[in-house]
Amino acid sequence: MLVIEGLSVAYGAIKAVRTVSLTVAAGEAVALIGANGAGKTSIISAICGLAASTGKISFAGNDLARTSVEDRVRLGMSVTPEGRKVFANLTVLENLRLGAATTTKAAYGRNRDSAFTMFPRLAERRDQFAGTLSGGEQQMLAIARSLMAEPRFLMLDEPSLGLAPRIIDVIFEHIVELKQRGLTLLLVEQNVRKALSVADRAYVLATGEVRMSGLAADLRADHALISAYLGG
Amino acid sequence: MMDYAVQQTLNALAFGSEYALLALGLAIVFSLMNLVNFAHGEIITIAAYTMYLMVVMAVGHPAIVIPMALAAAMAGALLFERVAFRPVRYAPPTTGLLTAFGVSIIVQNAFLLFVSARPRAVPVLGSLNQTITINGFTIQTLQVMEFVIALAAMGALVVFLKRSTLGLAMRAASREFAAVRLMGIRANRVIATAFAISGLLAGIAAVFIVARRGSIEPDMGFLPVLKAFVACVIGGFGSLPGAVLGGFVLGFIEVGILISLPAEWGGLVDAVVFSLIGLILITRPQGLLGHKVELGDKE
Repeated sequence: MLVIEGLSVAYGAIKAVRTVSLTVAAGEAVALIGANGAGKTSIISAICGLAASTGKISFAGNDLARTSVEDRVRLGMSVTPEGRKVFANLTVLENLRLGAATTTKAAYGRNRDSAFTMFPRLAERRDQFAGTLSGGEQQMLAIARSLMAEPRFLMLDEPSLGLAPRIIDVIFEHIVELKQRGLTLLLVEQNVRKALSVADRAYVLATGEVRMSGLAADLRADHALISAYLGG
Repeated sequence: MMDYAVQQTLNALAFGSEYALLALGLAIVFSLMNLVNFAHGEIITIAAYTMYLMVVMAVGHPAIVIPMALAAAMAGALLFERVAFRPVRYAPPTTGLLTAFGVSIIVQNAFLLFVSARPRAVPVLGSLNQTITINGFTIQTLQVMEFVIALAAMGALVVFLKRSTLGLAMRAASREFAAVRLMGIRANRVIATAFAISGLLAGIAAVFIVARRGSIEPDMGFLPVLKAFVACVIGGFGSLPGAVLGGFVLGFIEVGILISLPAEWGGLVDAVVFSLIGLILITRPQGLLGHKVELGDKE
């Protein structure tokens, strides 16, 4: 579904991503793991079109070189951004409405109801400003919002960031649920164990390069790898 | 005495409405783009010269002149955005500010060259301004209209910002513009809408300015926008409720000082007004409704 060849992202003189190639097949859950500053989020930004990049990104057979950020959503990709980026000055419902900006009114109603079934906490807080939610609730909202566009392919950028272990478990249960629904996933994580427990395959990034890739089950068993690149 | 108080209150409300309409336009654009649009005054001028053009073409009925002026103001604001501000959208804020000054100078000089440097009479809206007496109170109809229409426009803006997807997107984009784009909502559309709204509000203000003055001139937009800028600063820059509050506060301060200073001190009104505003800002540097910005770890 997603094919990336020779992708590089630079911010001025700093090369955040160096000729990375990776693929995500339809129905697959792929994890992108690595320490802070390894270039994971830059790769997501490049796929979304927010960061300028060189190399080739194609999605569902479309070369994205000339596709705007906004049109990429219409091709069926969606992202739960790093740091959640919920609209703090809007209510939970209004956040979901903006997530549904590319769909029909009927689809909005349907997806809102299923979001509230998936996250009952959000239903309780539907008229509350997103900025007043707890970190875990904001992460739920960010995921729910990214699902409103009815994506085929969902990128989750650091969904565990800054959350308590108990909440991380809840979030990852939902990610497993999304995978079982047949959604294609690209999961960016520093929390390696969690990421590898959900993913089918994984790429290990360090200083902007892919150092290793393989089945999640194999990488999980490779303790040397985990301590070398990921610090435990 | 009571009559005088009513008159002056209406006077303050009318000026406040004008400043609030203009300040809202500045605040809407600033909240999205961090652009202080000093070319906003030229939207007033464009609307005013459109009215003048209609008079020259002998189309003198307010029912035609006013919609045309509003349409011209919106078109002008959209044109500024497309031609001048879009190319510098991702440049540092100072570039946008200088671009706005450039636009302002070009438009002023265009009217100077192609029309005249001297004021021209636009008597067409004079009929809106009647002096009527209700229960012994003398009232200027134009002032009442200005206040009522400004309130209606603000009400409509609130409904738009709370109900429509584009309105929600504008509010969201004031904090998280990139995330709004990730929802598939086009940045160009959000920004163009903001400019169209700011143009419409300036157009409404322009109608009242021309109705009151009865004449136009190339630099007529400068002072109102300077006042609107001050209103934004009083209210807290980028805050929409702050812009409205700031506009009315400024209107009341101006009228209050005008009537409390002896007539021979008339020339000092602006000096006193700005000193008072200085005092407000010393005690509340972020403006009345603005948020304190933490600058400690700013790059």
